[in-house]
Amino acid sequence: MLTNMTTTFISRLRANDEAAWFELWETFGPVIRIQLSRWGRGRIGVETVRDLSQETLAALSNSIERYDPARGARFSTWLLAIAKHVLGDEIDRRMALKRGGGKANAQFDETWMKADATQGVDEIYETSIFCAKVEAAIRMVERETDFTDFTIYRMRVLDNQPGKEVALAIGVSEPTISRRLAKVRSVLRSRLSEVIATYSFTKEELAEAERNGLSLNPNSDSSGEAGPADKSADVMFDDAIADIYHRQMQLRAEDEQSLLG
Amino acid sequence: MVSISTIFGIIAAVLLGAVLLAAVIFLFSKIFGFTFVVLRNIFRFIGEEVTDTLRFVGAVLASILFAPLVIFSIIIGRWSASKHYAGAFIAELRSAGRCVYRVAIGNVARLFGVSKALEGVEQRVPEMMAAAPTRDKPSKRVGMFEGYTIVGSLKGGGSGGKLYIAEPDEIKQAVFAKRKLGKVEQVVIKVFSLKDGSSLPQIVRESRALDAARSLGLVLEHQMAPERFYYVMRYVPGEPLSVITHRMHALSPAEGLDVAHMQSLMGYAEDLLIALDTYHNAELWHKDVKPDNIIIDGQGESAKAHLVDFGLITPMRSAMTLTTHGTEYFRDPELVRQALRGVKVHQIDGSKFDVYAAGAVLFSMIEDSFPAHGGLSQITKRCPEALRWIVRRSMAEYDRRYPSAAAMLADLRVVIEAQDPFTIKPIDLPSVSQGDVAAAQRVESQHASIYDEPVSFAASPVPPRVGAPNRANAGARGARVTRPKAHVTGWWSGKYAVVGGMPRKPQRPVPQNKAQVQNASANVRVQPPRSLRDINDRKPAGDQVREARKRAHKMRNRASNRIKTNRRVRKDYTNTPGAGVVFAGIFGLAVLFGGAVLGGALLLPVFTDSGSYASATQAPDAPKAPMHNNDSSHVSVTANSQSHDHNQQVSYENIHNVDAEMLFIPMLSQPIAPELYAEIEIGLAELQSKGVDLTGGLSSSTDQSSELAIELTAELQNAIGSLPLDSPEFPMKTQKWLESQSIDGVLIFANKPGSTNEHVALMIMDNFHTKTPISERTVHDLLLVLKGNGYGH
Repeated sequence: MLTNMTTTFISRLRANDEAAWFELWETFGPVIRIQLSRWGRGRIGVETVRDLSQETLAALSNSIERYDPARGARFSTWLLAIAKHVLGDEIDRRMALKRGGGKANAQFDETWMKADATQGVDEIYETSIFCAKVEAAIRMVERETDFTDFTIYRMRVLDNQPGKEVALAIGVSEPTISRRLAKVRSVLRSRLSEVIATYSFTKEELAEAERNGLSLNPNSDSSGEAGPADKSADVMFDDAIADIYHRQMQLRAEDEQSLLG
Repeated sequence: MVSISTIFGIIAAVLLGAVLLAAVIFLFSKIFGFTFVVLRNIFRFIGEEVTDTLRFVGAVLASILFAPLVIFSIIIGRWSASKHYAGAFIAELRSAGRCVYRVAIGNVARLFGVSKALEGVEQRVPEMMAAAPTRDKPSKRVGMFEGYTIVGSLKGGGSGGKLYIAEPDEIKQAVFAKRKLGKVEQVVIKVFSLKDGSSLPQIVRESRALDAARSLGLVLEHQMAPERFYYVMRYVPGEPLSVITHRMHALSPAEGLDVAHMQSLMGYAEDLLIALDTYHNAELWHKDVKPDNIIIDGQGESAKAHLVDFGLITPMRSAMTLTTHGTEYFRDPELVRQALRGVKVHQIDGSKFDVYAAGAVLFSMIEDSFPAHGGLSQITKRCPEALRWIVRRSMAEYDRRYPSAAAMLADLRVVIEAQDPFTIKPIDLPSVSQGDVAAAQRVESQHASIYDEPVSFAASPVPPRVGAPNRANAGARGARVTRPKAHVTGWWSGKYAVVGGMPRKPQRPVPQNKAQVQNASANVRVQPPRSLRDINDRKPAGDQVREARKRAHKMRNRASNRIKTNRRVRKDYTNTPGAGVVFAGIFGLAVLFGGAVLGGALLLPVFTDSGSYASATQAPDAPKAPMHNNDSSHVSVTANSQSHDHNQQVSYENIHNVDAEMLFIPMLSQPIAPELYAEIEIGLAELQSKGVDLTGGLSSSTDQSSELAIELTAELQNAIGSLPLDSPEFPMKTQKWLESQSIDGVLIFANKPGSTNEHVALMIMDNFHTKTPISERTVHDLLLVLKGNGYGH
């Protein structure tokens, strides 16, 4: 089951749209790097990890032609299978196992296309992929919204500063802060829905946001005013966003460390 | 029955008891509170003492590591590197001295953790080693630079060009003086040579930017030759901002920079923004702003930041397609997106990408790390809220960030000028309270007064501001030249006005009436007509030439004297061994000697136990360790027959059944000398007698083996292209090709690169490769290597 957004995105990748590839690389590059570092610990160095993470996307460009959405694999499994294939190929190359002659290059294993829970996808990796999606949505919101509005959201939610302090720093009233927060939150919900729809291949992946406390469609009363239920949903949404943002920061810090060797 | 007085007595006693109890608790809490404070201070003191002691140990350990590096650099003739390591050695000693001082006076710095002990070894040693200059003289292949004397070298950057420090001779200095570039004592020459691995596109890219940089006086000279290209810049002594930042963070508390260091770093950011503003007003885009390209010259309050490396500098109105060149994390991702879309340089505002990079540099100063998260990077260290805002605004989305470096500078100056930067809120910044245009105008008006004064062009790459227009009322982008646009002013008549484009030259007022014409003509200075010489007064041609030569000689002497008198006593860069080198050298010798004595003492029992070290390791039947594998790039097997002992001879003769199938490729220049031919034939026969299955031979024949050899050689050539034999990629690519073949390796006999008399044998197997000069011992060596790697018994 693919959404229109996913198929559009895949079409762009298939058409070799460089901007789409860059988007994919920007969003999931660090996750792949970290995963490759974990797998190849002690066997491959920093430079190789960088090369392999790029090769992963190159391999993806070849495999995308053979991708069969009807077989029900998750997006995360898709990326992981390609990264694993690239790493396995590299290890084979290093081991020089061809002695005895004529061993062909590693063949791409396409069993991952089946919806199977035993494909070696661990929780850390799944969390990383989900965090990367949320980060992509935050980045989109940063591009779209007014700088001051986004900074208010950043200070209040991501940096967890009290509303009064934020109001004092920016020179506006507290109700204005609340209004601007709501504005950014609304855009963020919308972008998050888009990003999750784009990078999800299964229904289960689509429901990932709700499972992580990100309510994308909060209830609202007929007047359009936020009711108590909405407020609590907003608070939960903000908390979840802040939590994911900080987890993603941690992940980036690990990536940074691995890049520094 | 209890009387009332008794009840009151009991109540009074209870109250008294309660009061007493409260007093006792209060007293105890005060006493224990005081005790707690005392204990906490004692433990903190002990903790700090331990930390400083460990730091001292770390600094001493690092000094011990640096000292042998000084000796080693002196031995291989790298004077600049020895000076570099000696500087680091002295820095470590200073650090150790500071620790001793802190331990002795019991300072109360808030430092924790034992990891500090290894700071010197884990961080500073690798950093210094990575930043070590290359060799002091260019290789013979590159050649020297006319008019310059090379005095040292610098660590090259990511572009692959080599950097040399040089002193211009008197003629060059006179040329620079004539071009009004001021005194140029020392320069940096950046050279790209095709023979040294630079590529043609790289050379073209670097050279393209230079005309623009030369117009600002940033580049003094550049030259393009058939195989190399170089350009000359003024030398700015000092250390990169990244090193300074790291040092300042090491001296500050863990939670962030202290105010003094914060002020220093903000001062450097101010210098950077002033330089960027100047470039942008000259329609230039630096494109590679990063901490390593910012050099801090001087110390304390006189320290100044200089932006260097003009390799990517780009005219903003260029019609070229945008490229993604730059440095990751300091390059705006939007630039990559635009470049991937094929946007032209003049279609975007390059200055905004420099502003992003300036924000990233500011982030790296605050965090001592690079912004891995782009604009979303979190500032975790302590920093004024206003500075946080400046970083975020400069790294915001392309359309939302500061419109110019001037607007960013205006905000930064407010924070710098504050008594306590931590009290400044974002609302206090001019761009927030007054808007970006007003903020930029604020800086422009400050600069306007400076522009009117002649500015000396000392050792700064920031170009002089003489002649720059007064942009006080010109808006955010000031007198920036924009693309001209036609605006229709009368739609009926078709009248139009041109807006933007090149600024017009001021036109003289046209005189309106006769009186004005008379006044104008009265103001014109009439030049007296030049008198013509009588042709008969002229001297003979020979005398005229002699006089002209005398005049030229006199002028040359005068210029030479002027240069000598004006020459500064202090030179920015010198690689003569200083006291640091001498001291570090002596210390290094002592460390090496001590290490040798200690090593000898530890190994002596081993020698004694095993009888003889050589006999224990060189046993004829002992399996040899692999001589070479893919992890190292090159190995040479010494083939001097005199150096081989009896044990190796025995090892060679004991080799049998070498199970290896190899392709033999002769690449020797024709005709092959008869002696060499015979020697190789015998060697190949010997290899085959030991079991090596060789495909191909010296002589061409029509048998199946030769045909197969020709076919395989062609395939190999197709796979590796035209790589030279001595290229490090040659064995790697051959090994990759071998993966798809049924043979185990390739044996190549070829002339040594650059020589016709010397020959080498290159054996590339699937998991190792080796090279050895061709001699009577070649086959023996190759067999030993094969055996050592598991081929044969």
